[in-house]
Amino acid sequence: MSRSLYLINPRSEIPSYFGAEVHDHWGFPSAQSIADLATATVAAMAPADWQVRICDEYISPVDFDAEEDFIGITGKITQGSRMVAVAREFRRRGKTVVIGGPYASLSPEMMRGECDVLVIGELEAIAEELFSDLASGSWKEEYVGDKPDLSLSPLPRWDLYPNERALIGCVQTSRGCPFECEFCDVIQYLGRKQRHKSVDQIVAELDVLYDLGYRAVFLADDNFTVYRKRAKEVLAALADWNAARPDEPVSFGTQVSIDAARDPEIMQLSAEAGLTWVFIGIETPNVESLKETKKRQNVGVDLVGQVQVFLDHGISVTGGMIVGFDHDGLDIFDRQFEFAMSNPIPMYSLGALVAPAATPLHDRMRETGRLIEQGVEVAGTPWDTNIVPVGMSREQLLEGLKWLCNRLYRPAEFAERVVMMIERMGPQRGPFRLAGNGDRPHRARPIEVEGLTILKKLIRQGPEERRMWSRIWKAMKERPETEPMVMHALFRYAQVRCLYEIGQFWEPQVPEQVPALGPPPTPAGGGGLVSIGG
Amino acid sequence: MDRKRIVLEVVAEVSGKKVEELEAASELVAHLGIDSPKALQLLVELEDRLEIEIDDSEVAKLATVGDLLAAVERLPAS
Repeated sequence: MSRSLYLINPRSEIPSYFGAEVHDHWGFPSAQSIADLATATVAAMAPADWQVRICDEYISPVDFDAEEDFIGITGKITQGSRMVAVAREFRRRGKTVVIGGPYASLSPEMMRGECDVLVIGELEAIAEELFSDLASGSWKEEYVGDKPDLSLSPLPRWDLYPNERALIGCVQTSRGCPFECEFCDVIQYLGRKQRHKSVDQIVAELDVLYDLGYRAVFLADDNFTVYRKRAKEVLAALADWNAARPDEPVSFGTQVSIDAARDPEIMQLSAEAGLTWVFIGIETPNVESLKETKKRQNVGVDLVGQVQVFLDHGISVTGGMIVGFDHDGLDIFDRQFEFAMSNPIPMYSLGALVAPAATPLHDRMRETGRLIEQGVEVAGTPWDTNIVPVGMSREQLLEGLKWLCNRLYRPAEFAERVVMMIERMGPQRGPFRLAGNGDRPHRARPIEVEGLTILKKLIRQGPEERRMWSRIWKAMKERPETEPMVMHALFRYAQVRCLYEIGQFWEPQVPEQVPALGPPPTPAGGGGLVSIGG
Repeated sequence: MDRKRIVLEVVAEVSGKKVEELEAASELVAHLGIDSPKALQLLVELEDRLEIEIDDSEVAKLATVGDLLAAVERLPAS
């Protein structure tokens, strides 16, 4: 029997460093930064005779008058409260609500009472059973998916997605990561044994995205290069694929760990494939904190030198930075600032250490009475945390972090890092070795033109921003091949300003030095669970 | 200096062409190589020198030097 499904990706109430909320915050139509792969993939698992409609709430509002038989809601931890709000409204209207995705899988107890059907884990291997039960009206309250072979993952239904309002396409070539960083919830959900899509699957997904007009694609892997042999195979395939599109090649971005820089072959293949930017969890220059959090891949490494290896291959780096580890004292803010400014990294996602549900850190914080129950569990929210730090008070942590964020994102400091990136960037290789010099600019997609006006607005924020652009423009003119990555960094900077403005976190008059934070707390033993408002 | 002259000078400066080479039909992207960063510099510099503000909705319509001249002519100085 034919059925229908309305699939929703709810909008987080707080923007992220990597979102595109700056579009509507500054008066433009809403936009999505990276096209939502979850809804497009789930849509592809519905039986062929089902009618499926996708709503990405980052792009358009939820249609609460939806007439579909079932409402499907997905989301990450950052979307948790909105997932609940949307589910409640649909259930109030008598709709059957199915909830799944990362947050539901990591914290099923938070969603169990909010839906008619809860899907925990990955859907591929149980999709047939779920849709069959839904169609027959005999569904169970809960389905548990394991970690399926990714050959089961179908070609996403991008034809149902509002692609014209997304900046970057998305392909996931693998799931899982073998590392065990204490604060990471991804491995709790997707596992430490990485699973892979075949090259044929990846290429088929890229073909669809290319036909839809995307010229930038995010490889949404938890750690793209961790299995070197396999990563090299994929990179070689991407290089071949891009070589067949010499007029308009695609640039790729992904997440890697810093150790990738130690493999010259993988760096060379990355450049040839068209990889132009990577996110790396650098976290901290404090080695003791890296050890504490089991970020072993960053220990004993010349982090600045390794970042430069990426730049040598024409790849820009975005860094994740965290303060508030147990081994961080009050000097960490100065240390992080100095370290960040010594790197040619324009963009950092900065935040306090947060203990997401289901992580070893969450367990440890709870066991030691340092977990703030019902506190924020949003790793991407810089202005709060759900832990009680050791080397400083919670207030000192948040005040110092606020200084660090504002200081690093003052226009002059941002410009300095962008110029450093421009000057240290190696020559572009692979598909972009001839592009970026003004000879062959391709006509921008409408949403990219909108991005241009957003950057104009950014430059018009004040005289400091105008000076920032003058400095960047002057440096970029000397190295035109760096233009795409500079524009990317500028857009991300506009998003940071949006994030900080919405969070009332932006302080344009930030002092040069860390404000006096007072003495560190004296060690106290024990203590029960901490509760906000309790 | 009249607005038209300033527009042409800024376009020439940003594109690396000579003012004499510019025609109303010259396409900003295809003929003059004005990609996104250059377009941004062009807009910001024009706004500064002419003390105008080019509306966001106009930006996507600017395909040729003639379009740019017409858009600027329509704007009052601020």
